[in-house]
Amino acid sequence: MSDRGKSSEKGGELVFGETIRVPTVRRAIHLSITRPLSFLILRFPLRPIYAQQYSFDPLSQSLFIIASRLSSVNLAFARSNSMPDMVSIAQPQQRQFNPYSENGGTILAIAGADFSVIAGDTRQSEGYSIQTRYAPKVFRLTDKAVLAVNGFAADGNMFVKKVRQRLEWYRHAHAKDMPLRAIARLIQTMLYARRFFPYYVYNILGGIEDDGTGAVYSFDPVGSYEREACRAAGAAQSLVQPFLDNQIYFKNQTPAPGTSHPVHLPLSTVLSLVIDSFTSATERHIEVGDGLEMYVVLAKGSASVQGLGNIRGIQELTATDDGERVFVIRRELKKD
Amino acid sequence: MTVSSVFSPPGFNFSNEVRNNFMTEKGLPLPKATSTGTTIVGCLFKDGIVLGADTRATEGPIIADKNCEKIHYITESIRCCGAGTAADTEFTTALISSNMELHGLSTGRKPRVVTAMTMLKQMLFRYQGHVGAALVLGGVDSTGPHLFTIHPHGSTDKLPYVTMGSGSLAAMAVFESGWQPNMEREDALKLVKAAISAGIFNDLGSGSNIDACIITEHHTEMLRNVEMPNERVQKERRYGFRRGTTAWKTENVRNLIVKEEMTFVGGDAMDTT
Amino acid sequence: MNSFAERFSTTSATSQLRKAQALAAEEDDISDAMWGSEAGFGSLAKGVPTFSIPAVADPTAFLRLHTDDHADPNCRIKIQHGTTTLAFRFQGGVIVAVDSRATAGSYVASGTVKKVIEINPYLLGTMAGGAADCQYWETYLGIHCRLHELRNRERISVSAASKYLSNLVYGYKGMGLSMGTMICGWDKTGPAVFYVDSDGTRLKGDLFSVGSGSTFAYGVLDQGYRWDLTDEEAQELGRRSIYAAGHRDAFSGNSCNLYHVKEDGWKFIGNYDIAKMHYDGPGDVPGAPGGGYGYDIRVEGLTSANPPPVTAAA
Repeated sequence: MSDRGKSSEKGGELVFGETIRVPTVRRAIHLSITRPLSFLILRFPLRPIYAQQYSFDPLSQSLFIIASRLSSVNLAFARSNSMPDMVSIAQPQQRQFNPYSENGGTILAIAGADFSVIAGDTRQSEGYSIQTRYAPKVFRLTDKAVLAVNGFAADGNMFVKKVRQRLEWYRHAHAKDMPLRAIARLIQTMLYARRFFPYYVYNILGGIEDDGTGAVYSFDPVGSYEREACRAAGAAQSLVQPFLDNQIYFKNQTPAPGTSHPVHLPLSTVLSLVIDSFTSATERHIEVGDGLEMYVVLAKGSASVQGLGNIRGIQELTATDDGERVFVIRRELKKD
Repeated sequence: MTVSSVFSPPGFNFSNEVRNNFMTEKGLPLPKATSTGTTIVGCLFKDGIVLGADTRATEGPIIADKNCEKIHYITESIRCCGAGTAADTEFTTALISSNMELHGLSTGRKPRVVTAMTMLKQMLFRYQGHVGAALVLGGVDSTGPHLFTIHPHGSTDKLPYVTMGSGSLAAMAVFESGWQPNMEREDALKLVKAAISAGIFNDLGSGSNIDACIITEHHTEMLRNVEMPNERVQKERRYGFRRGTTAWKTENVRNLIVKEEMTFVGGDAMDTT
Repeated sequence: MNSFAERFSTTSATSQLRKAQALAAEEDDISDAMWGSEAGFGSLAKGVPTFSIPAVADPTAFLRLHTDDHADPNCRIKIQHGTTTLAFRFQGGVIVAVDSRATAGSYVASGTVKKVIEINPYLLGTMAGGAADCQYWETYLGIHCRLHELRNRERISVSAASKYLSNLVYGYKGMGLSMGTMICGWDKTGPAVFYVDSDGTRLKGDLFSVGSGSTFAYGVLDQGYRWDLTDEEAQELGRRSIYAAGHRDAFSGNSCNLYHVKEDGWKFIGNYDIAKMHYDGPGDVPGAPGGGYGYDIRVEGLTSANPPPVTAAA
């Protein structure tokens, strides 16, 4: 792989704007530069992103270039004798390939006996700026599966797109929707396929299992997953999850003598807890706010549907009422 | 008088500087100071100065205080808005306020805005940016109304309308489109409110309520929470806990009265018939 | 003429085919198998999984930069770490006991993690290190154990299964995988435990503990371990060891999952809350002495801080 370019023969005679040809694509070249250099600038004729793929070691005076899909490199050198010795501190600026960003927001899902609620705020931010006040983070995949994604929005949107594509292919091949546990395993393998270049995304999958129970699956960015009763992820995870642990799992609450805590909470209680989680997170976290989207997935024939009638701003997303039903509830959150 | 055996120079103590840098390098960064990622503004109008500020204080992405005061008292007719490290803005303005009071007493005159500005910039310059205070200083004195910004390293600007903090761009956009010379008091206040609102709603570091301060030659009006556009919403549920919710290991009830003894004072027992 | 037209047409059948072929060649990470289900393992269509690699000079350094939370606590992608797992062989089979805590930095990301991976009814794997690495590769191992059964009409030995896993992860050595696992089961040779990690180490042994809390677990395990332990004693030893680690290691805790592998396959014994074990004990289970594991019961009434009930009343 390593290739001593002609620059090494030329030694100190290097001049500004010299061009080195790299013979084939996907080749790396290694140049030893005999003349001491303080810094150098490389210009690449093709896409600017590839200009970041080189490293220069001032100690050994060697240059390493990954020449993926480019044919020539334009080298510009500054000769050391034109610089005072003190300037040797000025090293070449090594750039890093950083494709990740963090877009704030929080997602949350809670499973009930025969329903599950998947929610997320709609603010998308970077640093101290709001990019948009309405960027959905929760997506309906099928009539019984809803996926919430949080982290780096570009990765998240791409990931949802790819999951949906795979689910559509499955539908064409098998003439039915993929079961929830299978979607969970699919998401694991899709995330793990990028083990060495991860999607910077925290996923929470909610919906109804084939046996009619509500389920929540949570994932880490490289695909480890677990079925749970509730999970919060994202910017305000550490604010919301302890609240949920206390109110859903009844952590640190001893039941009254002779009674026990309920195993599953009714839908109305769960919705109230979700709304309160987000209004509270909005109060204390700068990246949470603007809007709240709550998806409710009901099992076939669930009695919980009665409680949904009088909820403000509810909208049904499923066309028929003879299978699982998906509803969305939208609420405003504080915008400061 | 006892003489201290340890040399302690006045001002800041930098003796932990090397250690702290080392610890940061090893992955133990310093605890975060509360910073008022802020929108603060000031503008000139016909009769004086209007200052404005939001009321959010943050610690990283967490809101530490939803209703803090960022318009600090310097003298009766000089006020100063602070952005940056909360402790630095507070102590710097308090120190200058004291010095201004002393200055007024020793000269027998009302101290001027430039005096405060000079004191602030000299202090901040001396500390080479280590005092992280970004200030908007405004007031009215015998030479008229004055408005300054003071940056953490000590540089200053004198302008008819200024903004500072993380929401300064949002607020400046409002000033650039709406400010005019010789505005009426009401219009100026409205403009300042609009500028702070722009910061509150578009900058994540700013939020909650609007504070304003109108300074004219003879009167200073501090308008604390002049607008509250972000009231806390009603919770859906009540989160009271049943008595006995917290688990305990052992129970030990002690009687506070160890021994009770009644002594009648006076001759006869009380007639209780 | 016809063939000429077809060559340059953009709508004819052959050009459609040509386009599809070009597309397939371009997107080599999408295979035909992905159109179906492939049991979720669509990426394995070509026999081995395919992974996207960032187009940088040093992909491993890239991964480390963005995921390693030891070097940089502020890095964005947090991979879960921190564990206590143990497995030991004895006369009555294999005991596998693990905690259930997952931590990301100082945050307890989950307290209900299943760190025993049920590879098939005769094989168990434990999870320490990267949760996804263990889950994914041990699931993948399960697929190949089943294929081995179909090809050879007999169950795979624990030794072969663990070697399969060891060879697999060794192929990714230096790429940043992180797993320390014990493959436990029962085969022709009887109970077997193999330790396999992502460095490529594979060890056969009677007794292992892996993870940040392993030293605490070893302390209890070593003093109580004998080959002729009864089933109840062995289960109690596993539980007690995980309790000790959960009690002393900040990165382990929440609860203990206990499995027992016998000749007819593994059996899930139970889930035990560690705080509950401290104060009240594991409950009415065979082998438990009764009462909490905490040392409170051993000092009750013996020190001035814990005076006997009689003195307290006086």
